[in-house]
Amino acid sequence: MNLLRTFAFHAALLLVAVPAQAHGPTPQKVEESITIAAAPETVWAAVKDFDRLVAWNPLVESSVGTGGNEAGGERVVVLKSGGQFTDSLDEYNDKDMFYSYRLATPDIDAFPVSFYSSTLAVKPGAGGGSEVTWDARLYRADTGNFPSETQNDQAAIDAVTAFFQAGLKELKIKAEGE
Amino acid sequence: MRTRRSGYALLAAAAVFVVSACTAAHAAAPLLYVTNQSAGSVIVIDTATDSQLATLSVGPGPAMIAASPGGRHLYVTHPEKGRITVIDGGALGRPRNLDVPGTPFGLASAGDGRLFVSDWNRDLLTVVDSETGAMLSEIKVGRAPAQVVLAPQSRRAFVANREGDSISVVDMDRLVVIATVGVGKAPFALAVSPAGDRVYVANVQSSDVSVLDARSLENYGTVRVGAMPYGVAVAPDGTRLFVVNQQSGTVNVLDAASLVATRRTSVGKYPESIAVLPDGSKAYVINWMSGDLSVLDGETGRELKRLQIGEGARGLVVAPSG
Repeated sequence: MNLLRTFAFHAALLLVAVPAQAHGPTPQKVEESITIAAAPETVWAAVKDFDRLVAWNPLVESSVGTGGNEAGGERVVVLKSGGQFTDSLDEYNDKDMFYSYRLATPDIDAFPVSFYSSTLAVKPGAGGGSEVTWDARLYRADTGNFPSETQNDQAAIDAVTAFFQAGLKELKIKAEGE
Repeated sequence: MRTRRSGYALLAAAAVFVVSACTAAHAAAPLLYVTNQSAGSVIVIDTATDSQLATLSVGPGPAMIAASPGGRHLYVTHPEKGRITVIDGGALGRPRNLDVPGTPFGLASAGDGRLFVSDWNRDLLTVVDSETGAMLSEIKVGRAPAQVVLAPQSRRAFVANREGDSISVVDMDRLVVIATVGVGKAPFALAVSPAGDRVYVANVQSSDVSVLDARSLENYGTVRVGAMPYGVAVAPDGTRLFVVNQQSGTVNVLDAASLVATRRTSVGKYPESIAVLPDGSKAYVINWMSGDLSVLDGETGRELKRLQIGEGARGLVVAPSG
């Protein structure tokens, strides 16, 4: 009985271990941006620490990092709605105020995306303000050719769009309040 | 009404093609073919003028594209449909469909009636009859195979196993795996030197390029490049290597002999595939997110201009016209 249970557990693990690094499906795009009436330095200070996502994204319960703001640094993002995924930094540029990262460990049941690469950038805007852009190139949760409605391209776009918009909105409130 | 409109569109496309065929007869400039995965099309560009000659409708989700060795035929994979589109370079208006099993992705034409095609979901290198689509062989390779290249000089096919962190080396005649070579993390793009002696492997997750001897399969060296290299191409004389870094938005030009970077050029957002003209004068890079092509000087790597191409552009190939 015990043996059977162990076997069933491992069989379930195997089923869950779907390929994370898709390339066959059509990659999807999300591009969000927001204008903030605060100096770029102020806005950058709020977002520059890769593991401080929790401070400006209301959908995030916690974001614990390892490796700091260096390429290879990671953050484990726990969602308020449940589930967690891990992001990994690829490129970090303090001077030009941007960083690029990728989804290292997905959680397709909580956040229906199997892979993304993403860049967050702060640029000077009009009148001494800032323009923040957050974009991603992503693949749906089910990379097979017959995804369900909760794991298709649209579900992936919706999840990432909602995540980016919530973060940018909160960032604006925080930066303009300072 | 709908029929009449599409009739006009067809006429227009035919007219465009006649014009281009006449121009080509004089200039004989190579053509650049670009897949647009979102639009279900292949865009044809005259590389003499960098102007668009035609847009061919090929059905949903075209990903990678390869040319036959002489450039007469173009082959396009549709991984989400289990299909390969065949375009006759001499009759652009009439693409033909081959239905194939599985999820065809990367491909190369052997020029002898056979296509070598990766099936990324089933972990296979398949050998497909380029006329009929008949499956000639299914060869088990590593996990999630991506691009495929051929080194006819050594009768070898190379497949990048993205999730296997390895290259499968297949004998083109016996159709068996001769070796599996470990490379960097998440190899995706491949290029073979014109002499067929080297294979360049772009490793997406370790952000480096592995350089393999095509015969001995020894690793010459590993070169650090930008973040997430998704494209690699060799100049026709073999002296220069171009590497496209998707996360960095850059192209590295490397000296092939010393493997030292000679230039880093900023291009558009999320660049991926790259192709070089047969005379080495220009290179073309797809900027996936910005929906354009960067045209680079093939000698120096300097960006000359950008061409609007539309969102969803994915794969590209250069082939002699007609």
